Amino acid sequence: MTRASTRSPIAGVLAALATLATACTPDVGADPTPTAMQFDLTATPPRAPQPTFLVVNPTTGLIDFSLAGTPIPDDCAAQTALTEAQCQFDQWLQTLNGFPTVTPASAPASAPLDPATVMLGQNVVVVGAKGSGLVTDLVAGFDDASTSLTLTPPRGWTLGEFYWIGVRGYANGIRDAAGRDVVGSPTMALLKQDMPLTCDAPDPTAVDPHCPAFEVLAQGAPDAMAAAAQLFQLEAIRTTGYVGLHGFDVMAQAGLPKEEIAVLWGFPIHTNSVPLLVPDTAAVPHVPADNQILIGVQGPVDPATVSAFVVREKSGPVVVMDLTAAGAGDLEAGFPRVGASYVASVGAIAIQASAPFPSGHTIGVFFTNAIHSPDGAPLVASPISVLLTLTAPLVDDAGHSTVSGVTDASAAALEAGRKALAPLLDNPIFAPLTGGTRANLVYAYAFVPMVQP
Amino acid sequence: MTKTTARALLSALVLTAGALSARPCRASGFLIYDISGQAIARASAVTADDDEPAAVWFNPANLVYLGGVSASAGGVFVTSKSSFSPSAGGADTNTERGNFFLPAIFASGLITDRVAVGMGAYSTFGIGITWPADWEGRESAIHASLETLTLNPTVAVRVHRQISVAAGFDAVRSVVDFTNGLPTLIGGDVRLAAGTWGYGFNLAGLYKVYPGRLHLALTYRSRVKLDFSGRANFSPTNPDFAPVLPDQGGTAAITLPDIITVGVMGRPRADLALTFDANLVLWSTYDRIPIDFQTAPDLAIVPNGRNTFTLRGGADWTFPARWPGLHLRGGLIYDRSAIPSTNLGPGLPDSDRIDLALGAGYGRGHFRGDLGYLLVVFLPADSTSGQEGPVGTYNTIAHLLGVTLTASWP
Repeated sequence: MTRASTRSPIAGVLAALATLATACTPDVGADPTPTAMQFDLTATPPRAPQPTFLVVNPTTGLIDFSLAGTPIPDDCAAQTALTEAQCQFDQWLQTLNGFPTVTPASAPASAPLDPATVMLGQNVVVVGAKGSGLVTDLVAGFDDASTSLTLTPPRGWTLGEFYWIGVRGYANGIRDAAGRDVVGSPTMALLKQDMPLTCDAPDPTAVDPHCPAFEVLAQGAPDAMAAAAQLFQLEAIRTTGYVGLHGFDVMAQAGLPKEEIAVLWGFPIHTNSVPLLVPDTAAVPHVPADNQILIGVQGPVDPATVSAFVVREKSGPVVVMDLTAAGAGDLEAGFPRVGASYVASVGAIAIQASAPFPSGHTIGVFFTNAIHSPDGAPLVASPISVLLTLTAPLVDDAGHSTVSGVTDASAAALEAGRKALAPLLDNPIFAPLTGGTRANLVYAYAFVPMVQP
Repeated sequence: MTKTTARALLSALVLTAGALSARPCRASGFLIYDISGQAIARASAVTADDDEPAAVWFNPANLVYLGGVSASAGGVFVTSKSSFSPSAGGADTNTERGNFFLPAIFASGLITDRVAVGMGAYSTFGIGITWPADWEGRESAIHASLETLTLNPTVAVRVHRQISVAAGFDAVRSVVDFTNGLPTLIGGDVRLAAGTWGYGFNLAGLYKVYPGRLHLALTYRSRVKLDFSGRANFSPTNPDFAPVLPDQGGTAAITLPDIITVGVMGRPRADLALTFDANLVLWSTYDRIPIDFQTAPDLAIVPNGRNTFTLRGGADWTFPARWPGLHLRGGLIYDRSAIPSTNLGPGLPDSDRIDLALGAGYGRGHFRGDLGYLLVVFLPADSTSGQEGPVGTYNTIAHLLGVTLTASWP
């Protein structure tokens, strides 16, 4: 007797049903998802390269976050969309006609990249379009927290320059952490198109539904009008930005053809001169002698606008305080007698005290925006100076940074400085006496001078 | 139920399952009503006069009059080809020729003098069409396939000498396999394959007003909701779109229509049976096919199906004196399109159809063989709006050849 013949009818039925349950369902296979350089303006918040000209208002020439759909409220204390410190910081950014010179550039990726595969000038091409040319003096890295490729200029971006950064993807480009190709994004694919994305429709209500770019956007948009609006937004970016500012041409001249670009973005740097303050680098006050302090300034300065404040004698935009003495109630010693001048040969504002700064005392240095460059434009603050003068805390109750782009550790260190300066800046006598306010200070730093000839 | 009947039912199930899992089970058209050699030859106008186990599908109320135990095995070979002529001019586009075999196995047995049971395993709904991968309607369809296998146990009861009723249960296994082109800037395609089970029921009645001379029939088959779940493979040509279109799970939903049929058989002469059936098919259930992906933008096919009808007329001649056991058959079908021209698309280029049926059967002793041929002429169908595909005209022609072998024991 065979085995089959002993099988019961019920077992046979079950076997048949089991066969039927999977019958004819084809295996469609599965492909690995490639790592991408992201560029999603519809995400909240947008997941796009930073900084970007997309938030520079073409009418005012100033940074304007409302262009990205995230307007900054006037009253930071009365809103909850942002932390109060972030709101205050963004309000300050919106006073600039470009990004700060110390702003790191970053481009988000969908998965970790291998920064060791970054070859500046080859697969990551940075070009200053207003004269700097190809830039390779950068530090490339990968920020795991934001899953972003980062590019930091160790000596800052050039004032007034407009930078384009292109990342080469695909077969000849950078690799992800697994060694695979990195591709671009749908947004970048659309921005790379040579033909108008709108198919020459005069307005969003007149878009041909078979217009290729519209077909793409319509698949992910809630309705046709939303897709059409997005289409016109992208077309404006393509024409005024990528075509109008010649981004692809600049990259092609630098050896990166459009078809190999995974992501391309551009950004301007503000034109105003700025007193340097980057505590982790050499951009901190230099103390060549026990009665001298040099503060570097990026950009030209009109020497005639540089003078020191001397209590009860003369006003001036350079205010120096012995915070240790002032804290002890000795107002006389709290404002040491100093002079200030601009030393063009070293590009720094020099502070000369009539007597050595007391050893171990904390010295506070403040500049107001009454210092100008020769064209009459006031100096602007560096981001660190701004953070130190905010009224809102830089860390939350959990110890996390309240300002994007500032690490928790940096925020904690800066918060200590901010708290130390706050009583002084909030003191009702300080502003009337010195002329310095949170709004007009372009430099604020406190430190214990250590002579370094 | 006799041991022979049980074995016949089990065999039907296993054989059909094996047949459908061993090869691509595709069909042309959506409702393939014609699934037996004998019925095809009579334009499937058989609800009031069906003396074969395939009555499980056509009208199970006939089963109580078959007597003994019967089983049939066979199938329908379908070959079809469609073409599209764009309204704006240009060359026609042709589909691949589709060749499909749809097996059908039935068994029935009389378990008392009033009660019969039956079992069928068959495929009556299907779509199978493949267009060139680069044709102008690629975003609407490159390949569309819907396959079904229905397992249909049924019970028939003779409530009166001239009246019988029946009820059955339908378990429908179905698989879809759609490939659509992605938008031009993305390139490539997306393929969704999914399977599911759906369930329904059927009711039937037969009234032999003058037994053997005038019969009336009424049947109803319920709608069957099919909620497919499967996987989608996105294959964009432009790699920049690959990260936002990962392969992922997907679902689709289709509701098979209700079918109501009335039939009549008249025998003006002892050797000639004339039959007429009218099907009312509630294709309004086929109004929208949502295709939902886990993360990718969802799609929807909107055929906007409308309720429609099919008219069938058939004839069966016998020659008892000269060639006992021989049947010659013929028939005609008029089938109304279920899809309005505004929603016509290449996945199902439906149209009004005129079918011509011919066939023959011969039986001797316990066995009988039936052969039926159906020429299906799809009248030209215009797609007018561009909503579900390019604007133009579809033309289709199909041939069906059905073969059924039947064994009966008194």
